[in-house]
Amino acid sequence: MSAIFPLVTLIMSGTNVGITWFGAKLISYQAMQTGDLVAFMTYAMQVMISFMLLSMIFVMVPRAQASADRINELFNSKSTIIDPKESVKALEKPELSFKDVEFFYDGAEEAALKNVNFSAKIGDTVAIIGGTGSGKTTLINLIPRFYDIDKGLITVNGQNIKNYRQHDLRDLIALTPQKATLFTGTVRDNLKYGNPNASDEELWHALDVAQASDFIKELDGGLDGHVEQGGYNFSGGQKQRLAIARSLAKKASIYIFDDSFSALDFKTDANLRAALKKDPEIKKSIVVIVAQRISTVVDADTILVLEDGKMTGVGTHQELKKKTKHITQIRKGDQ
Amino acid sequence: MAENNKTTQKHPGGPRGFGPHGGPGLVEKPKHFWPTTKRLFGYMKKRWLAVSFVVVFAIGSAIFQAQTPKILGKATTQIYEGVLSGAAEIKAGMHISTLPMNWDKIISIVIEVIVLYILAAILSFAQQFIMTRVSQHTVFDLRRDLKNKMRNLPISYYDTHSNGDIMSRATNDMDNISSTLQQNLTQLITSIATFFSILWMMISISIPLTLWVLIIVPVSVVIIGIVAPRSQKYFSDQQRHLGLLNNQIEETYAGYTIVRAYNHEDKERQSFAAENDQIYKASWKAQFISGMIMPLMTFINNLGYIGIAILGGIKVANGKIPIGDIQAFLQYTDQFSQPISQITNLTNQIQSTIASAERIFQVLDEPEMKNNKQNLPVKKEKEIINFDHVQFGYNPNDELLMTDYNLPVKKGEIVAIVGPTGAGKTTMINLLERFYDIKAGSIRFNGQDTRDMSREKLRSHFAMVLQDTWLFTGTIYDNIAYGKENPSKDEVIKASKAAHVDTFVKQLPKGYKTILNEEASNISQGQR
Repeated sequence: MSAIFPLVTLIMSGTNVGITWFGAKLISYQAMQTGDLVAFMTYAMQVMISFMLLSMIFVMVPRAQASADRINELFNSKSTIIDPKESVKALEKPELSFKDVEFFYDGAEEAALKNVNFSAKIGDTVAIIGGTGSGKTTLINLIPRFYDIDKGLITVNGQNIKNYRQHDLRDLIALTPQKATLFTGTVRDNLKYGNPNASDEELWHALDVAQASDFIKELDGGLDGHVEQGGYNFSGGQKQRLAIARSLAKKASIYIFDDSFSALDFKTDANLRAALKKDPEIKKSIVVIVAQRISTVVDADTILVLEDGKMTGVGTHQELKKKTKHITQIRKGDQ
Repeated sequence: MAENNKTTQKHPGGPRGFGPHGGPGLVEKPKHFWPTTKRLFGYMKKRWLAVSFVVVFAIGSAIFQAQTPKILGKATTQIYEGVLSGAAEIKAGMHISTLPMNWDKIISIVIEVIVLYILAAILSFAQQFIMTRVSQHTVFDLRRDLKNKMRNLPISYYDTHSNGDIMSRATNDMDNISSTLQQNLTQLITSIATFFSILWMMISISIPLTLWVLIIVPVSVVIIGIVAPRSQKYFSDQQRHLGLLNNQIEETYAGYTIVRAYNHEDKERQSFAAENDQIYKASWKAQFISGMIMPLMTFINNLGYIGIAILGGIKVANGKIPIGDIQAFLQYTDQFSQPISQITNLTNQIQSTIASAERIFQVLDEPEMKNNKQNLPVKKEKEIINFDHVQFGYNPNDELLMTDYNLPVKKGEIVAIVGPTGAGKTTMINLLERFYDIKAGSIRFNGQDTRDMSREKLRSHFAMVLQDTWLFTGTIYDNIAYGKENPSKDEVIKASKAAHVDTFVKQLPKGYKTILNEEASNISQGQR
């Protein structure tokens, strides 16, 4: 870069000298006037400047091109999850079932989930347990159709999830992911995220169930209290409880909690689960809980045990206790 | 013309604004300009000889360059005189095919000019070359000092300063200094030298013409003074909205699962569109107004040109000035505004650089971790780790967290630390690894007080898993091998089997060679 400036000056100066020399020749042959010589120098300068600008454009264009390529790459990538033209109508009753579901992540050789079978009806609680990396979160992500399955069938409220428009399918589901994410705004904004029409009463009820009403009451501004980017002004446990309250405020057929109680202490965890059980809304829907602690899931109607993407057990706690040794291993680790 | 383009291009200040606090549309002003400048130059002291060469070369180059139009003008004068005498001969009835010219004189003028041009170019090239080296060396030193400093800063510094802040000092500010030292500094010297030598040359040709130029130049300065602040306001608007948009994008993608699961794509799209529209409006206005500067300046320059042509023409007709001088004067007028607009640009640049230097020096001036050696005798004891009457508090003014804490640990023991949040579990570990130093008492490792050991040595004895699992960008293999300098492949695989990660790693598309991204978001929480 630093060599360019002296070089350009040199070229410009050389041009001037050349014009003077050849101009002098032309004038002596009476082919040019002296005034033209002065004008010619000014023109030459303008042309040179235009060339400099042009060369700058030649530097800029490849840069812009590289950027444009990256953007186009994004534009050209196709969405693999395609909505049907018409959404089917959901049956009134909450229902969820997996039939022989198999799923591969893009480019993976081994299946992340294989032969998953279970079903749940209104009022049921499904618990999914398993070691780290066994595919619990993957399974959860299949329900709102974040990924399409490779084999098998998933139904929600009696219909294949591929027959819903994604928007309609996700209206039926309230998901609390592993990582509690809050958005900038007020506590109210965050709670109403899934249900813009929720009344304050409903919000407080959701907070009560989520064991979050105490600290929101103490918060400056209460429901209007400020939430910073990423919810940094709340502790991990508080964020989790707010995220749970957010999903409770959304009236849904299926509530999914992906290890959402991990940052809660035992007492809060127990209170929350008891409140969940008593809630009339929850009783009319299906709850799917991913958990690490056995205590969280003992009273579930169906417990799914996953191991390396395969279902190694399914049934109630009592049934499983007899059958699997895996669950007893987790139990031991728990105590 | 060319110089006007530079003004318009430099104004945006670059799209650096990330986050709400990055409003670089306005120039950041340093608090202590001169002391910081002095200190920054202190870093160049070692290379003072090179720097003085740079200064001499820059001035020399500017002076040589400024001489040339006038000398080249002499050639034009010679030509003109040839034309005049030729016209006289024709009038006298002589038949001539070529006009008589003093070719010897013209050739010697042309050679003189070429020599001056080449000298100026060589000097300018040499000056750039030396300066590049000097500035890179200087920034290298500065970066080395900063890196060393960061190693010796107490953990509490990192607790109270955000990563983004520290990062931006080490990269943005460093970059800023490097480019200013390399380009702007020599530009400043050259511009000042050019300004005065051109002024001197103009005065030497004609004082009235010079006065005319000196009237026109302030007019253009006034116009820039009126237009630039207006566009500046829109540029800072643009930066502000860009920051807000970035925030929104960041947040939306951080919580993308939630956004999708709660059907908020449309709402996010709407708020994106609204913010995007704001940026569009602000940038449109900013670009339009700053785009007006160039035509305005060209117009005023042309006014100056016409004035010189008329005034100069009259003087030439009266035989008061040779025609070559007018030609030279027109060129000088063209070049004259260049150093002026450059200097105005540079003052902003230099101010922001000094502000950057100030921010780096701030880090360099932070108190370091003390190596407060206790010189306690090494005790012969069975305990490998021994907390002995330890007192500690994070903040000197706050109440102590530990008042009289004792914990002896013997070889082979497994110690579990239990307690509610805030009880000090993590604190204990922090003390053991000497991320903080204790107030009173002693922590001994194999009988030696930990403060009497170097931190590196002490920490090489511990392996720790943090509450926040933290993995580094790189392959899984690299991450497992992070703690040891040269582990064998078998050792790594053995360690992963012990932590029960072997099976899931093999499930990943590329096994141990899978690349983790910065936040390791491509594997699940438990897997981390």
